[in-house]
Amino acid sequence: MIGAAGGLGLIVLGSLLFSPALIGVGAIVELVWLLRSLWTRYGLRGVSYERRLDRTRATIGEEIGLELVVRNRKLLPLPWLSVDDLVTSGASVVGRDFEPSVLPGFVALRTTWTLGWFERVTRRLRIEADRRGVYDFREAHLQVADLFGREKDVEERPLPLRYRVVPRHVPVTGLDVLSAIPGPALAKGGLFEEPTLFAGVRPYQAGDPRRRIHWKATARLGQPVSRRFDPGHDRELLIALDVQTVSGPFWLMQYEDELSEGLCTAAMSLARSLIADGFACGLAANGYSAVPGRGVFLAPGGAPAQVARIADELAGLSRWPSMPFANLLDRLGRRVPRSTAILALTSRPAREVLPVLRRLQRTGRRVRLAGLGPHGPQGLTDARTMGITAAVVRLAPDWRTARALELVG
Amino acid sequence: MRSSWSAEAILQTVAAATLEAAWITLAALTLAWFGGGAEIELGIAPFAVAGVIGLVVARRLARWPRERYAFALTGSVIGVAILGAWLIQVVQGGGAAFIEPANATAWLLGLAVYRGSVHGDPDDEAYVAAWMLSRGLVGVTIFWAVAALSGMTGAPEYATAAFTATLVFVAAALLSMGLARLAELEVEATDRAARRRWVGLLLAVTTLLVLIGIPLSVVLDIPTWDMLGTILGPLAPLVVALFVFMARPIFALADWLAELVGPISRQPDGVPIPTPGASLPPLPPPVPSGGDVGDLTWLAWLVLGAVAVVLLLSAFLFQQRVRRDAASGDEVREAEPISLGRLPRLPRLALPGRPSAPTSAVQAYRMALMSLIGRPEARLAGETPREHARRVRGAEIGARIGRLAVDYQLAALAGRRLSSAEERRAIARWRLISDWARRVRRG
Repeated sequence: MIGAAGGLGLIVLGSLLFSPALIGVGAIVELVWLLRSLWTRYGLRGVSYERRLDRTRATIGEEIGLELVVRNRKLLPLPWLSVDDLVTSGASVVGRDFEPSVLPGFVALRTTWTLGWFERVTRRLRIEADRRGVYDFREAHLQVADLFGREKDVEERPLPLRYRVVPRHVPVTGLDVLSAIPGPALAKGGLFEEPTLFAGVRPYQAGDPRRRIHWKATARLGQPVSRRFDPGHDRELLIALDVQTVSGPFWLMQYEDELSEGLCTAAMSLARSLIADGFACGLAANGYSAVPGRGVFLAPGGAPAQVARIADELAGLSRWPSMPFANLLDRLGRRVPRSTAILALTSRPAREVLPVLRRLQRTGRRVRLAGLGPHGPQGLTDARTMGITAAVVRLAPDWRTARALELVG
Repeated sequence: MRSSWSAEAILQTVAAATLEAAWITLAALTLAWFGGGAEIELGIAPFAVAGVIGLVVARRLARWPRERYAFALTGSVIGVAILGAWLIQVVQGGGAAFIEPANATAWLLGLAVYRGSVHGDPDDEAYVAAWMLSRGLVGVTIFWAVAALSGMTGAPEYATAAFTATLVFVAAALLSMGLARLAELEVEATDRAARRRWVGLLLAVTTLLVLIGIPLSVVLDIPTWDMLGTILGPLAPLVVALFVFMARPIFALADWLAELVGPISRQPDGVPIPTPGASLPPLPPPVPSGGDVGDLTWLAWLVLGAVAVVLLLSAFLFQQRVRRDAASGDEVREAEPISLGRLPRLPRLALPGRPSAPTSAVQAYRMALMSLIGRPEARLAGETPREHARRVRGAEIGARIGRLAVDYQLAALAGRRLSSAEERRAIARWRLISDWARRVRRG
């Protein structure tokens, strides 16, 4: 500011004294003042910043392409542009370290750029999907610095973007254990008849298709009769996932990471395998998710898109429980139809949940228990003692490298 | 072992030393002018060398104990001052036998050594350069004001040296600050290519500043070659020789073009056409080949300029560079379409006396009422549109006002949306009413 005033003073003085020298030097001083603040004044004008992901869902171990594009649509080149992308803590970008951020739970991915006039620079980075979760990109902080000054100009631009890292899924072996769990169920009422549920014959009615006529009975009775079927429903199964991995009060919010990821991998693999086999599969868990509430519930569905829905729910599932697993099972007993089978998947000693499972079973519901981790075999023994079918889930050598999920009954 | 000196570090050292040398030169000029207008003994270059000595001493001996460091620095200051005094004596032909201890210019050399040592810590360079520039600009302002008042600007030798020192001071300060900012912003830590571009832009802007100073020197009536020689120092003859060497093919092309065009352009206008029977006039003397073909320097400049523009445009339009870096991923640089945004437009001037036309039935009714002001058909205060229409029903325009009033009431009071045909008809009624009012007013 002193320089600007001095330069102006020189120009005025030079004009008064008719001295070109003073005017010239005044012009130089003014030029220097202009140069010192040129970038903080005009640097961010005409600058656009974009962030793109080549996909929004990746399995653990895969990579997602991240494309950062900066455009400078003006004559003034930018020698230094720094962009801080706020992303959920825990994200990982190949070859990049994160800076701390002022926003809790977020870190900053800092990139520095130099742009010429009317230039577009595209930088491609790779996001490592190495930890399950839902990752949000929030606003971007753009910062330009003066070439000669000490000032910086900062601008915040909202650029929301989200990607999910979903659990691995592996082939399931030993499905015979599971195959006994659900089956074609008899519905109490319904419009749709299940062709496999033969229920007898009835007199022929006009309009009955010829294939429906029971020819042998017709011959025996001497009058036309048609087959009759009971109403049925799809084979439905709900995987009830116990998020709690450490015994004790659930509110301690402690967890064992390996077991937690192993449970999610097992749930994902089971769901995918069951849906591929024609089951309608759903998910319930006693953990938090992105949706406010004290649990996760996804109604059973058999469409291929259900796999992606389950994967998304598992991606956003917290590693600590929101309520006791027994409470979740109790709620499910009231919430889901009795025809829906429940598969309880836990890594803790099964003694806590066996009474609830037995109560559900006594109401006519099909329930099964699957135990993962060191307490699995003991849970199998305890469950058999109480008359509940159970299986041990094995991911060998660990959930990261296992090639198959083994069910041992 | 890899050297810790890089091109940027050398450039920064030179810039810092030149920055100090420039203002010390201004101080030396002031002393010389007020000391009786004596001959200028030293220019920027010796002061810059002294500054480099101080800077190197400060960096090399920075880890010494405080007392030893102060002693070494003081010794350097005095030593350089004495050496400078001796050199001045030798150059001025006063003999080397006697060294004048009161030579102020020599002690300014010592000051340059001390000031050079201030730039010893590279981490503080951004702060020091910024401080120097802000305070230095004030000093430069005062210097030039004093110079103008004391008549120093009238002395060509002093004016040239002072203007050059000012220009160098500003350029060196900017360069030094820019290079120091490079380290401050930790550009290298994130993007190595950014560092090169930063330095490139820095040099371009600094050069631009010097180039702007050249036309200013013409305004000030300062010999440009003298100024450039002072700025470039010992490199000046080399730069000029390089320029001449590079321009030689262009000048040769200009000569060839001149030879090609010469015979046509030099066809004498007044050569009389020989008539039969008349004696032939004497032929003009033959033009020796390769002789004076006129000043075609402008052609060389034109060709140079055209080539530069073509190169610039092609580099700009067809640039697409891909850089692969394991750390930062792939990077693609492409040109963006040039758009200069909206150009400033001249304000649209409305013709006086021409009322604007209504665009809706509501506006048409209101403007129709305005055109009736002062006439008996005008709407009275406290009169509703319906009452007004009923009152003027018998007038020539009564029916039209009545229909306009209905449209107005529907659109403005009942909130009904009129169709485009109704709007159009309302506007036509306004036109008829206003024409009638104008006609009646004219009599």
